[in-house]
Amino acid sequence: MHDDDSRGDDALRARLRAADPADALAPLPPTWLDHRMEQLMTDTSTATAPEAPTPARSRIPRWMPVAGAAAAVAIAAAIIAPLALGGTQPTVEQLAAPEGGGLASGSCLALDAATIAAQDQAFAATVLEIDGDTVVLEVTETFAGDVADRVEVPQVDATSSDYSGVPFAVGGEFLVSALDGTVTGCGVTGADSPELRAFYDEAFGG
Amino acid sequence: MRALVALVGEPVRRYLHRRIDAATADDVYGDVLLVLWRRLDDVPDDPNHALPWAIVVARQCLANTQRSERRRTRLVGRIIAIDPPSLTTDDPATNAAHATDRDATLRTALARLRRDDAELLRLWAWEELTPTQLAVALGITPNAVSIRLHRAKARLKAELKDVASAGHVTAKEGSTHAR
Repeated sequence: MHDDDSRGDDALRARLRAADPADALAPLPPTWLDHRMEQLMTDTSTATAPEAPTPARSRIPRWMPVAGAAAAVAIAAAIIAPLALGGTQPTVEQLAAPEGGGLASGSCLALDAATIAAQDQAFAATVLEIDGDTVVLEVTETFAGDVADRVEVPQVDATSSDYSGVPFAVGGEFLVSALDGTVTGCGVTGADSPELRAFYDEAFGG
Repeated sequence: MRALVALVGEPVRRYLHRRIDAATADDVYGDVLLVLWRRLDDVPDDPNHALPWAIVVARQCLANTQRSERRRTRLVGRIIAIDPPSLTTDDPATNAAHATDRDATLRTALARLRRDDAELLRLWAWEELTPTQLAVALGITPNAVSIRLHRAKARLKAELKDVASAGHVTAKEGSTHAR
């Protein structure tokens, strides 16, 4: 039985590997890396760079024309790319509400950073709109996992809410965590307060 | 720094190339090297942990690039909606440029998985990370890794079956028409 499992896993891995988009990718020539490393190590903007700063000869930094040209290219690319690629919509994903609002289960442990660090997804978001029972969050910062630009979650009943007792309100800023596609209650998800932020910072080394 | 790049450089570059178009991948790779250089003191001493650590850095650089890219695309989308240009160059070849079409069933099945599951499987098969390395890359315990990996594999197998049986009829039809 177990053998079947591992054989199946090997076959699965082999099939995934066969579809690896980078399997034909040639390594960069060593000269590219040498050049790049030299750039990095002589970059005077890094504190550890051993070289003395070059004296300022003019008020306009030498990189200014280059930056200007780069910006022009970027703007041109920004206009052409959407035309070629189409997609102008933000990515959206849905998360489920915690069961019984989280609190009703009565099984909440004391909040700590380890609980937050164990989440699949963790992010800061602003409530963009509330459409009936659906709350649309605009993600402003991602701490863990893969998070879309916008996340939709069901609004919870204010009385049974466990989002630190604060239901989602338009314009409000929240720290949200989710495990397996479900928003985590028990105080892990809540209004973006200095107290909750401190736990997130501790959990994700912010 | 050279020793670090020798160890993680190519794997990180491949990681990026698997997830974004080639030109952007090399741009982001440049960003990653800069972050590695600045955070040289934070690199884990254990060489086994250096790669997953570097992958976390790469993932963050990639996420930032994609986020600003999407934001810019949205803004331009709004501008175009207000003032549409006269020509459109909607070339499907460009859209598919990054996709490899060798195993469409697998790609569809992967796309149906939750993103975290799919990413875990990619890190397992493409980046070939060990459970310990996966734990470092995902910031969870090795125990949680094996549970999630087991679950993700089962889900992928189920999706593969599902996609294959759904796609079988159409594939057959396609080949008959081609003749």
